[in-house]
Amino acid sequence: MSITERELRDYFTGRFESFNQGLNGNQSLEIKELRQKAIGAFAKQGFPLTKNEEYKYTPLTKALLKSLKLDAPVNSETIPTCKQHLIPELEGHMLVYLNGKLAYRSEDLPEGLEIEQLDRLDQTQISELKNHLATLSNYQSDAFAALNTAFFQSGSLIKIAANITIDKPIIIYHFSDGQSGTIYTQTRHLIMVGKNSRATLVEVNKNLNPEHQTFYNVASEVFLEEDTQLHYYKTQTECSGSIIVDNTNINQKDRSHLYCTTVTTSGTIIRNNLNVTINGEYCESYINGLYLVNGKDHIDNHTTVDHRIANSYSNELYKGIIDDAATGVFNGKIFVQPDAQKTNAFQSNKNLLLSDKASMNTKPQLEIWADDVKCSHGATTGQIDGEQVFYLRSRGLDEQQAKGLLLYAFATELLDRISLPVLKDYLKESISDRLYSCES
Amino acid sequence: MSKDNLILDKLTSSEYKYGFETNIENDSAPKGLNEDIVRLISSKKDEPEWMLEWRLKAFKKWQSLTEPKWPNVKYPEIDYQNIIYYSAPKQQVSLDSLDDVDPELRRTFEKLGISLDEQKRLTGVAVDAIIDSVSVATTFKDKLAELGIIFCSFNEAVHNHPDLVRKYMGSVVPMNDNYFATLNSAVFSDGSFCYIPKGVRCPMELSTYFRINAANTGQFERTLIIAEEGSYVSYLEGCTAPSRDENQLHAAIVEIIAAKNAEIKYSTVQNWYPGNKEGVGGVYNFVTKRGLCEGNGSKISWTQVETGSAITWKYPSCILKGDNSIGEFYSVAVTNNMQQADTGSKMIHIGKNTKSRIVSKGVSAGSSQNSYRGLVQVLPRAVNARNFSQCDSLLMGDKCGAHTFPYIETRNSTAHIEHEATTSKIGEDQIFYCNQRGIDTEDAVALIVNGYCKEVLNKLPMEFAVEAQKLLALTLEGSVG
Amino acid sequence: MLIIDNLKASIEEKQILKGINLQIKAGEVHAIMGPNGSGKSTLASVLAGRDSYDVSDGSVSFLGKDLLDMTPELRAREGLFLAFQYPIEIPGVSSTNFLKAAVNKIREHRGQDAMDAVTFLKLIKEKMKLVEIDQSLLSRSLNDGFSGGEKKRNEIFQMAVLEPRLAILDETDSGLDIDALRIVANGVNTLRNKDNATVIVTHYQRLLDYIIPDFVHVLYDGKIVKSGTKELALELEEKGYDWIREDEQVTS
Repeated sequence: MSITERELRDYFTGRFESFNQGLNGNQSLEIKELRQKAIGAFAKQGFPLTKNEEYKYTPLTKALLKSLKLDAPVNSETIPTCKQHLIPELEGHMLVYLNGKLAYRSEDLPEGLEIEQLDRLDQTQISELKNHLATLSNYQSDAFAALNTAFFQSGSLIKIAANITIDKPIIIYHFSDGQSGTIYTQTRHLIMVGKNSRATLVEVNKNLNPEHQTFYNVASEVFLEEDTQLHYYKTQTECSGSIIVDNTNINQKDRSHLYCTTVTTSGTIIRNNLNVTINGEYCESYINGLYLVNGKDHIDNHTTVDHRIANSYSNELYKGIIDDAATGVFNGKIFVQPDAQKTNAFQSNKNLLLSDKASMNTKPQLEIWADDVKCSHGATTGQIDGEQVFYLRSRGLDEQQAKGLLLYAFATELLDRISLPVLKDYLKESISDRLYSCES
Repeated sequence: MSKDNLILDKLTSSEYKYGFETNIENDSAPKGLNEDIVRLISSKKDEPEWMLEWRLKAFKKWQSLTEPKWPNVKYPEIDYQNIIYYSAPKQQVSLDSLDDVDPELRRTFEKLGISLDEQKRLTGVAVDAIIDSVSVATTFKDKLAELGIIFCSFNEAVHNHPDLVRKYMGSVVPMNDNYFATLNSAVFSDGSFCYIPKGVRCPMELSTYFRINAANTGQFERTLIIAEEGSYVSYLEGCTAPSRDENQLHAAIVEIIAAKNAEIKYSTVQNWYPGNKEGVGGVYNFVTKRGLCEGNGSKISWTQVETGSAITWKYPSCILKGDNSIGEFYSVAVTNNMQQADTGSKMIHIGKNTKSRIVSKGVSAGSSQNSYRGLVQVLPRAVNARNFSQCDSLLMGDKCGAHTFPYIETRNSTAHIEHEATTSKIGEDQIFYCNQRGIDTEDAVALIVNGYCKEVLNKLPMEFAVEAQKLLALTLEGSVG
Repeated sequence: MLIIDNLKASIEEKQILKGINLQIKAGEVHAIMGPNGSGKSTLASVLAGRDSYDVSDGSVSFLGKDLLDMTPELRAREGLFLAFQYPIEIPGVSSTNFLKAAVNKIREHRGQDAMDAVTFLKLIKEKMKLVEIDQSLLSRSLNDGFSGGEKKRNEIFQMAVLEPRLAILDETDSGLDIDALRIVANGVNTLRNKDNATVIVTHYQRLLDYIIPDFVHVLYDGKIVKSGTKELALELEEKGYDWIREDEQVTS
């Protein structure tokens, strides 16, 4: 039995009052006002239908209406079970969320690293964040960002002081486990990297119980101060049964460097909105993505790189392999504003389709208002090069091996850019079996 | 080499040189649009009942539609009741001979460089001259008729070849396709019709020359070209309008159909009045152009040089239905001052082994906005579809904008789709290098822009290419330095 | 022909030329040598009128006219030619069309009629032989995808066609193999006559084995610190620029 968009919208807006009441006394005035504004924005927009240009190729709302069981009870796994789902040997400062609740966090944080629960901040702490919290969020224009802003119940404030290098990565696990039904989660992070500091952040998303649908709506805001470096990895590798919306907004100041890689290998529908605003000179942004999808999975990467200040550089590479009846979507916007002279911005999207039912929709988009710039984008969609397969076969490999090898090479170009060896090896291993067993 | 040289001819003036007005008596309908006006247009044309019904159906549909808002252009709301939907020069409707053309009109076309005198036409181009949406003369009709080619005004075709018109009109651009196409279907006044029979290679370029003259009139022509099996035709279209302070609406339709192994080349040099430097006046050019590669092995090639119009909204497209059919789109769009263009192409791959190619060169100067918008769609049955798209933008100055919105939708794994886009400026080094060889900056810019657009200009028939190159230089005059 | 008097120039506030004095008469060949960063290419660029340089002091008179007052194209039309160290690529514009435009602009400036296509083709055919370049080069886009040697030969070819009064060859020898060097030198020598002059800007002496200069000047830190005849070039080759440097330090 499915419901209509209107009903789903009303369900959330109707639930807001009691939700907000329930939090009363437990939250600051600022947050309360923010939630009010956000629910207003959400009620106005509603869930996006495919006639919305931004959701043209991704029937997210339809999927939600079909799968979302409202008010299903939540049944959490125990923390020990969670442990076996961690990425082996990947050491770092961990935060483990299970169904949106903080289940575990590392103690003994190094000097200069502060991690707080965003929903437990007191009035003073919140007041200090007023120039950051929800200032990058696109909740006025995106319904899911609005929904998250209105309802977030958990999340973290990760603050890195100035002039510090955090050696070990900060790892956030988002586990879902809908043992007795659909669950939905709204998590939110605020990440602030102080001047001249360096850090690595890993976000891992997994659905531990793929038989049950989950809707995971996460929003992150990331502030990179002057001279910072952030390596930021997002993996969505065991997400069968998940509907994920990830809104990540990053703001870069002078000379900051961002290295962001998103790897997706499964998910009912995954929509990643990655918006990078370059608000400084001599910034560098490397934005990469790899998606390998099969079955009926659907992956949609929407990226925006907004160059507002002169002399910065951005380079974006997204690669995808689409098999079976899966669908890939890539929309990459590059804006070069009038003041962003001498910008160099490059973007490339390459896709391989392995099956006749697979489809790929690409929309690279350049919008340039400054003349002294170098910008380019390229997009290709095709199949494995028959000549290359033939060459390998003539050297004794069987067809499947040959194709597997070529697919693996296609995919690892991106994984090789990951600076954490443990994570890189883990991801390579997890895609290798998949690619060597591709039928076509 | 000779093509490029002509650009170096002394550039005489930066003003729009086709801005003059011809004083001729017009037969015009009152302003505004309603069912009576649609009936009036139909009766002025002495149309058969089926044509009137078609128009009325379209008009009804149009009333239920709203103007599209998705193009990347801005303009004040159009008052559709403040437009004259029918205006024609007062002269005999059907001419027995070209000698009967009003001498004033004849002079108008002479001034535009279009001779209606067959003896003077050495270049082998047959012309259908259209002023204010009404065909005033068609040259070389008899000679073409010997080969079975029909080349006449749309109105004549409605009367003399109703079977063909009824069969093909609306078959590529349906009556309710979009807001402007539906409007056109209701109120179109005239246009060109062309039919190339099986196996005939049209020996001369066919050309329609569109001229807006009367004030406050909307322009709504339709062109219909049918190329039967194994035939070939090259078709040219040119447009100019007087300089006026108010905006004029031009909403045309071009439908072309290529049967098995037929080839149609359609070239446009669009130079409607672009408005003045402050953006006052100019033509709103909202055009629907679409070709159907119906038969196997057919080919449709669009080439356009867009330098005029205050606003351009057009996406010449190919529906590649036949197996092994080919669609091409070559475009140069130049915007200067306050002009806005949102243009590109759609390539819909339906048949097997279909190929398409898009080459788009945008040049933005002044405070103009230039957008490329395109769609490459490979449908599930389109085995071995190939597309290559190249969209380049050249920016001159820091007040203009260049935008690209390519949509690529692939539903077949054997497809091979490549899209490339670059944005660049004219290098100071390049200009200095030219300066050092004695070439001044303005000529250097013209030289470099022509070089940048060469791939597209080379696709134009010789005579048009020369015209187009001069136009590029004129359009960009004063944009650097 | 050319009189440079106390020329000072800077780029982005950094002074490169610190008072150049030089006189060149018709029929002469001058070589300007110096280590990297001494200001050789700056001098060539300033004379040609590249606008990224600011001239802060001094004057340059060319054929009795104030050179610094002219636009780059006017300097070219008056007969000043710069063979670029890095010739610029202009995609889509063929060498032939480019040259024809240039020739006719210069002719127009001299009050001559534009050259017709036949005469022009004859002219370029004749000049092509001089630098042994292939006809196919002419129909290709200007310098676009040319090899280093082809670009340099194309510069000399343009010089041959445009017949300047004063040619400045900016590091024309850099990146050339010995055969190309010989061809380029041969072209320059053939064009040399009593009415024109040539300035060779170079780091190495080797081009001067083929084009014998009447005068050699050493540019160091924005000034001409030594002038002499071709023997000076040989001495430099033998002793290196350090020798000048020491010399300079002693005298200053």
